[in-house]
Amino acid sequence: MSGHELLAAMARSPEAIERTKLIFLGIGFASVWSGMVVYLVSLANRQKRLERRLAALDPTTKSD
Amino acid sequence: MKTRTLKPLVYICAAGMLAGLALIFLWVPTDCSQLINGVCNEGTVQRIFYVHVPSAWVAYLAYTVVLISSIAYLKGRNDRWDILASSSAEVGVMFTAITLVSGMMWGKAIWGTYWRWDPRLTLTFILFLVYVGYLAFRAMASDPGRAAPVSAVIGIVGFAAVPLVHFSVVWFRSQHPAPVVVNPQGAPQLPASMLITLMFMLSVFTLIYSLMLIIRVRLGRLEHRIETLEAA
Repeated sequence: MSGHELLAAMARSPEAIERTKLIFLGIGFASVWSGMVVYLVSLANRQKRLERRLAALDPTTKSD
Repeated sequence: MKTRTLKPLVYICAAGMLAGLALIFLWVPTDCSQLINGVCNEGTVQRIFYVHVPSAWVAYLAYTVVLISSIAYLKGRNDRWDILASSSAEVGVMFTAITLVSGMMWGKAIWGTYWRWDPRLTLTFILFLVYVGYLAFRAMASDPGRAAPVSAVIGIVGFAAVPLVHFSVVWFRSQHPAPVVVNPQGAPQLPASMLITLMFMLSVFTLIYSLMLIIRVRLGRLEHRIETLEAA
């Protein structure tokens, strides 16, 4: 068995397959949570910006 | 709604997420229903299912809210319905993006590729583009008052993609797994522990959607108030 074939066989070993699955599971979960957090942070930033604009337009008006 | 009143909902969502993670990683068994060369075909990576499916369902829910509020807007021309429709579309697009990315990770681990032009994947991508287009149209419109009826029509017509996405795996030849809960067989095709975990995560994602929608609607009202003040 050549070095190349040995590496290919190692890459397909049950442990390697399981390790790859774990990596993609981790990336999948991270994408879900990071997507939600990034969206919530962007909403908070937009709210601050709009409140400043509203205060500049009408200082007597209060936001919701 | 004031920020203070949202705090209990934020805590419930955070606690639900932690409880959900405990169910996913500590309680529900690893899926080993298919063996290939003595190795579980799905194995650990199948746990993406518990966030991938709720994201897709919540996206469907978000687009249903867009449909209902768009119809209500066209009937009564009340700006509150327009704000609700656009807010729900934005949250729906975020959940569709999460569905696509988590599905790509699952696909890479099982199929060996991030993307296939499979009917379910392609139609989900089209659904995403329809509502990105809806948001882009609203963002580019110079007069929000005149853009609202047109975007309501887009919101209603665009909803046709939702049942098409869901039943694409039944109607067309697809490599994507068939629906296991809402399916032509009627009864859910899942073991009890998997079904309970899925239903729990679905409730948590629905609460997160509600939280995001409340915050986004509040922003929409703020934008509307600013537009009114600037126009005066």
